[in-house]
Formats: sequence, C-alpha cells, structure tokens
Amino acid sequence: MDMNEILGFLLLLALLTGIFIGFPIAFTLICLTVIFGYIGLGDLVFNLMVFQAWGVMREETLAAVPLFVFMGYVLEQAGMMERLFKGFQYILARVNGALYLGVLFTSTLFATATGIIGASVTLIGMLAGPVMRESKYDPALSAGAITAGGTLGILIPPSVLLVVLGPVMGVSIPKLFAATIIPGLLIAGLFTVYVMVRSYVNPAVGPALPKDKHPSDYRAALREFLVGMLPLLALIGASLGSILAGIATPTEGAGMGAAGALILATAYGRLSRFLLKVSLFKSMLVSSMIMFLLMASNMYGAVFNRLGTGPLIAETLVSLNLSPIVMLVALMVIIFLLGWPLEWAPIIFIFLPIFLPVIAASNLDLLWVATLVAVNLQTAFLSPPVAMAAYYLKAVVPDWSLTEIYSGMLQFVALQIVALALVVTFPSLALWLPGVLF
Amino acid sequence: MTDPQRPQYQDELIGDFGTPITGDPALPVPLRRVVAAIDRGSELIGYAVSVCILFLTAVIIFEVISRGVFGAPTMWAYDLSYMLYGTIFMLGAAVTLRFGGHIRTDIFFAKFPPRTQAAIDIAFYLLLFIPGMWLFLVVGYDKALHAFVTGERSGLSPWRPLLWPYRAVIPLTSLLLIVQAVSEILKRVSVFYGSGQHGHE
Amino acid sequence: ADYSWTLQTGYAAGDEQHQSYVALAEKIEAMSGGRLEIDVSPGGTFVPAFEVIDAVNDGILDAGGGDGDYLVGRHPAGSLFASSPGFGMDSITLMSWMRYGGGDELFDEYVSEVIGFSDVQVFAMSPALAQPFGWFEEPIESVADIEGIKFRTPGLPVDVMEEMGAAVVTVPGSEVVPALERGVIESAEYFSPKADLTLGLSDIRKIYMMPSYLQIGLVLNVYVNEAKWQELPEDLKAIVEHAIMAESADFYWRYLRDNAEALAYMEEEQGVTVVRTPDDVMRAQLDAWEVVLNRHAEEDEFFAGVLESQRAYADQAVGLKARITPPLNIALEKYREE
Ligand code: NA
Ligand code: NA
Repeated sequence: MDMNEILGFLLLLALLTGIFIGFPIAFTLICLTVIFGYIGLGDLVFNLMVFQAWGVMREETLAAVPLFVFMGYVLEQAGMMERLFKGFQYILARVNGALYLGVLFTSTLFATATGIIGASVTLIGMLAGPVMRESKYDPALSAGAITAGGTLGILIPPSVLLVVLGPVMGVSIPKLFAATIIPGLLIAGLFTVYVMVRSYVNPAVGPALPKDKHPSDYRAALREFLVGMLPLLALIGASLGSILAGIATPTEGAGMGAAGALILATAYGRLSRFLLKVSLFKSMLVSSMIMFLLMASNMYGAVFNRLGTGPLIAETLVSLNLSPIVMLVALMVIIFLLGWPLEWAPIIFIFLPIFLPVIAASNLDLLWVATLVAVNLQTAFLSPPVAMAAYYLKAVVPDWSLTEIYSGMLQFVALQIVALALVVTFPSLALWLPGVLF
Repeated sequence: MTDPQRPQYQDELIGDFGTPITGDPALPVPLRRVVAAIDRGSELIGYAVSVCILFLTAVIIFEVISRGVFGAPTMWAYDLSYMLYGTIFMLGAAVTLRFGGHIRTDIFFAKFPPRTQAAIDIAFYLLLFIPGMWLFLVVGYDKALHAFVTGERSGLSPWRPLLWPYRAVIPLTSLLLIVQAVSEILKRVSVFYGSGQHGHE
Repeated sequence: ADYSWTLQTGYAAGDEQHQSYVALAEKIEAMSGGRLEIDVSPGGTFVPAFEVIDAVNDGILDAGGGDGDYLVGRHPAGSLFASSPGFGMDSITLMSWMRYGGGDELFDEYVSEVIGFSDVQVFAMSPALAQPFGWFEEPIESVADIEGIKFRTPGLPVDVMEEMGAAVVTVPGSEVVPALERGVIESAEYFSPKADLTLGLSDIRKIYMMPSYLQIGLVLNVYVNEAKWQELPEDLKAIVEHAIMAESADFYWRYLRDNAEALAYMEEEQGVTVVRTPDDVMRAQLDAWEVVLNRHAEEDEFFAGVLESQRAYADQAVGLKARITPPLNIALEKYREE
C-alpha cells in the first residue's frame, strides 16, 4: 500500500468527520478533496477539480433541474400544490397512506420520463412534503418514500447510469434499458406494498382524513377534482408525456413544464410580479445548492480515483480466486458498501473494470449482472454520508431533520436489498423482457 | 431560535429556506457596513442570475416549437441551455451561501451553542474555504485565459459559440464566494465576541 | 515498473477506439519487460472526454487518447487530422501523409501553437475503415430525402449535413439511444458496425446505410505529457513509438475481423438490412464538404495550409491507390454467386 492509497483512506475518514461536525457538505467535499489531493498529487488537484466543475457545467441534461424546480415553485406560490393534494385527499379520503400512493405513483411516472434524480426528488418533495406534514404523516416514512421514489429515475430507463454502465459491461444499452424495467417496477411495487402495509398496521404513520374534513357531498368532491386537480395533472402529464412521446428531450420536457406552470398560474389569476420574483429566486437558490453538491461529489470521486485507493480494495478481492457466484456476491457487497461514501460514477469507472474480467470469465450472463449492479448502485443515493437524495429533499423541506430523512431512507434501502435478492434468485426478472423485445 | 432582527425580505422572498445568521451589535459599525454591503451585493447578483431561469425556459420553448412545428431545430438552443443552467447554479452559489442554503448535517451541529457554531464556521472558512476557493480562482482564471487566447469555441453544435465567457464563470464564482465568505466570517466573529444572543435562526 | 502512467481516453469503455489504447498498453508492457506500465481508463473517469488533451498538457493525466474530431471546437482544423475526406485519402493513406507527407509536422504545430498545448507529445495511431452513413428509418434514395431529416452526428459532419439540408439535432451522448428510441431524432451515426452493435443502434433501427464520405475513416491520437515523455530513457521512447506503430497495424487487422463478424451478426441474427448509399448522395456529400472546408480555409490560414498539403499528397497517393486497387465489388459478386 503506497502513500497515496493510504491518503485515500484518510480522505474517507476526514470526510466522515467533517460532514458530521456540520460543515456545509458541498464545501466539506471540495475542501477536503483539495487538501488530500494536494498532498497526494501536488497542485494538479486544482486543475482536476476545475475540470470536474466544467464537466458538470456542460451537462445539458442537468438543465432540467432548475426548470423542474422552477415549475414546482410557481405551482407552490400560486397555491396550486395545495389544491392538488387536497383533491387527492378528497378522492382517497378514507384510504390510509393515500399520499404515499400519490408520491410513489408520481415518482414512477417521473422515472419513466427522465433520469435526473435531483429534479424528481426536489419537485415531488415540494409537491408532497408540506401536505404530508400537514396531514400528520410520519416524517421518516414520508421522506423515505420521496427520496427512494425519486431515485427510481436512475434505474428505470432512460437513465445516465445505464448509458454509462452498458458500455463498461459490454452490453447493449437498449437491452439494458429493457432489462431494468421489470426490476424497477418491482421495486416501485415493493415500496408501495411496504408503505400501505405500514399505514394499515399503524394508521398514525399515514392517517386517513379525519371525518369532519371528508367532502360534504360528491358534487363538491367532483368540482375540486375538475377545477383544482385536473389542470395540474394535465400539466405534469403533458410535461412528462411530451418526453415519452418523443416530442421533447427530458430537458425540453422540463422547460415545457415550467412554461406550462406559468400559463396555469396566469389562468388561475395568480401570476404576479412578486410571485415570479419569489419563484425565480428560490429556484436559483435550490438549484445552486443541488448542483454545487453534485459538482463537489464529482470532484471528490475523481480525486479519490486518482489517488488509487479504490483499485487496491478490488484487486485484493480479485486475487482471492473465489468461485464465480461467491465473486458475484462479493461484488454486490463491495458495491453496496462503496455506495455509502461514493456516488455511482466512480464505482462504475474504477471498481467495475477490476472485477469485470473475473465476472466475464465465469459465464454469468452479463446483462443480468449489469442489472444487478444498476439496482445496487441506486442505493448509493440513499446511503449517508454521501446521500444526494437526502440533501436534495432537505433543501426543499427544511422542516424535516436529516436524522428523520436518513432513518426513512434506510427502510427503503432494506427493501432494495430484498429486490436485489429477488433478481439474484430469479434472473428471468431481468432477462425475460429483453428476450421478448430483441 | 427566532431572531427579532431577521431581515424582512427573507420572510417575503425565501420563507424558511436556509439557516443564515445575522450580525451581532458586538461588531463595530464600519465592519457592519461591510457586511451589509456584501450581503446586499450578493442579493442583487442573485436576482439578476435568477432571471436566467426565465431565459432558459424561453430558449427551450423556442427550440421545441421551431423543431416540432416547423421542422427546423435552432443552432443555438443546445449551447444556450447548458450555458444558462451552469451560470445559474455557479453564480448563484454566493447568494446561496449568504442565506445559509448550502446544506449541512444538523445531527450534532444544531445542538452546539451559538459560540461553538461560530467558532467551527470561522475555522472552516479561514482554513479550508478561502484557500480552496482562491486556488480555484487562479486555475479557473488560467483556463478562461487559455480559451480567450486560443479563441476556443464549443464543438458540440453547429453554432460554435466562443467559450471563454462561459469558462470565466468558474473564476467569477470563486471570487463571489470569497467575498461572501468575508461577510460570513465577520458575522460569526460578532457572534463569537457578542452576547451569545444571535446564533443560527 | 520503473515508470507507470495513467492514461484516460475520450471514449466509452466498450468502444474499439478505447480498446486500442488497452491493447497499446499491453504491447508496451510486454515490449518493455514491465518497465513501463500504463493504466487505461475510459472517458469521464478523471476528466470529461472533451478535456483529455488539456488534462495531459496540465499533467493531470500522464497520457491520453482522443482524436482530432474532439478538437474542432478548439480549432476546426482538428478534423482534417481525423476523419474529414482529405481529397479521398482513407485512414491508411492519411497515416501515410502524416508520417511521410508533412502531416505530423502540421499536427505538432496545430497542437502546440494553434490550440496552445505546448506540453504534449502527439502520435497518430490506429487507422479505421470508413464510417457508415448511419441508421435510418427509411433508406435514403436521393439527395432530396436528406432534406429535413432529424439527424445526429458530431464535429464538422454537423456542418456538412446542415449544408445538405438535414435538420441536425444536437443531443448529448447519454441521450442518443433514448432519443432514437422515442423519435426525438430519426437517424444517427456512431462509428463502426461493432461499435454500433455494442451501443445498441441495431436494436432500434434496421436500415444501415453505407458507404459514406461523411467520415472517410478515423485516425486516433496518443497524447503524452511532455515531462513524462522526456523522463523516459531512449530505449523506452523507441518502444512506445514502435508499439504505437504495431498497434496501428494490429488495430486494422482486428478491426476487419471484428467488424465483419459484427455486420454478419446484425444481418443474420438481428434482421438489419444494409443499403448502399446512392452515388449521387455521396457526390453531394463531397460537394457539401467542399463548401464547409472552403469556408474555414477562407477564414484561417493554417486551415488552408493543411488542406493544401493534403491536396498535393492525395493527388499522387489517391491517384495511385484508386488506379492500382481492383474494384472489390467485382470479386464480391463473383464469389458470392458461386
Ligand atoms: Na429514468
Ligand atoms: Na451514498
């Protein structure tokens, strides 16, 4: 183990310390990366970090983030979010955990249209967070449903993760897209079953609307649905639908959602200079916070990679000459553990190539292995301390503490491990659909 | 803790976003003016930057209509999209710092007394933040200068706009962050030497 | 190892271009008895794909891999050293121009002065066959069919397709496959039968058009940081140079086998139909290229100088090659009929 590899381990330790002491996370990542990178790589580290910043700045697909956030704030400021969820509650007033259903359904819809988790976690957080709080939903379970639901976007195609993973594993991207659809929907299903069972066993975590708030007659409920909900549902449907129909790229779909929100606010007579100013300003703040965090985690991943600590762990494991299936399980465990301090990109770039020759030589179906890797990597967004989904949500729902958000997320991480085990046991969950389609 | 001196625009504009701290009277008046000037400057830049979101929306709508209805994609929408988005989040970082919007782990931090919080932050800004951002500024400036001297253009679309103005966003972001950090340090110094009444809101 | 380099390419891990750098590293390690080890990573591992040369110049990467098409934003002449039609010079002929016709000197000048990376040593490597025209919903039967078609391609070919009337849509790399699947773009080209198969283009479109003058081939580059290069002893320098030449030949041989197999697989197993591009369309491609190249030559002296050097070399080299090579379709028709 040379000097730089040890530095990499120390960087991990310092990161944990810094983040838990309470420095702003983005700047903890940036500044620790600077220090450890400087010791290990000299002043090159600054250039390396500027390159990473530039990489994030030129990622056109991320332009969807400020646009979806803006769409959310316009709707919120115009008071339309409240109506959406009131309408939803009216319809499902007697159902425990109705809002969880709404959150998970919207998340899954989002996931099939875009691959930007920052956008879905923030937008759905804005839409649902305040209403869930008002409705006395369990904060941990609410935060868990929003963050875990939001990260479905990176698993269910289209997804940047799959586009990067496919070529590394040597499997065709459309086939990988097809392979992840059923596991993605399976996870969405598991999430839904979990929240509904929790809500029925203990109605306090997802209470139904109290009797006195039930709609007085069906005509009122219908009216609320037509006037308050339908236009909003149409807006979200049009924004995501234009992506699904091939009229627009995900970024363009987000832009159309933002424009549509402005039109809707005008139609309801709510658009004012003040509303516009507030929505723009808040969207800018939230986007800046999100993208700075993403940029910081990319810098940290790149320097960690360049220090060479990662390959050491993986090479040690490969040198043990384990049997293919044991190696596959070991790979899954390693990826899962690495997902706590790292995001998916450094794991795919650095660790996977080291394991790949062993996996490839073992006659395991690479499409199946790639699907397992993708399901596994989705947990990286949900595992602290580098758990982007938690921070995105915290930015838009400041009332939930990070402790609550973490504890909610971890319940869903457990569900993902169940899903992973299912796909390991029944490979056809991944392989059936690509076989039918191609 | 609710601060009676909580600035009004915060209630109006950004609600409960972030955890900014306000200065304490312990800070001498000239320094308080510096803090006020920096904060106000950051806010004004923030307003200007936030309007880019409207431009971004307009650019995209134009492209969708132009391509979808008239079958004629624009040459410039692609480059403008990422340039506007990058400008928004980079130049918005300083004002986000001003409003305490860069998220932190509150598990332990929130339980520290205000003076301890201020001391941690001062150490963080002086030892890590300002040196790091300074070097970022220097390297970012070099890259922008190289792009300017060689006339570098974007190679991603047929529009091929000059890239140096966009590359200059990186050093500009660092500069704005350093200036804002000065204000943040002064506010925390005042809390550290002050009555202990004004911590995080 | 006495020396160990970190090399990052601008390509995806599964691309043949990336694999060529992996193969180069193996050759160098074997030839040097393990004295020089090179660790090869795909695009994006440390720096974005478009910034590889910049990162080598800074010393963040000891070495890098990319091609001139990645450099057209820095200066449009980059494409002339990579995939532009070069007055009919295919990639092997272009390698010949670079080594024996003054191209290497011009490329050195391009990298160190024109785009200002003076701390980089450059080498040309791995000539590829011509790139197919691309994947379409319906065959292109005439020049008129290109009008308004929503097409995706990178670099100077963007300008060429615009010149031909296509509606060129810029889609980021990660969106190409979903955009094709959903119809945001109608057609696209990537690189070679094998690379296209790996990316999955043959899963989405079934009409594969070739040949094409849009990109008559591709020549890759190896970038080495000047300081890292100078610290090598003379024998290792010679090993690197000759390993690059060995890999260039080996790449071409491997490329023929792999791509022949890939094309056969797509035709036999995936129902792909290969459609020959009409001659008129290819002539129109060259006309459009001429307009684009002349536009740049008028604006830029260096660009004009490179074109002039290529024209002079191609006049003899392409003249020889075209007249001495028997047309392959005669052989193909004879042996396929039997
Ligand atoms: Na998705
Ligand atoms: Na994580």
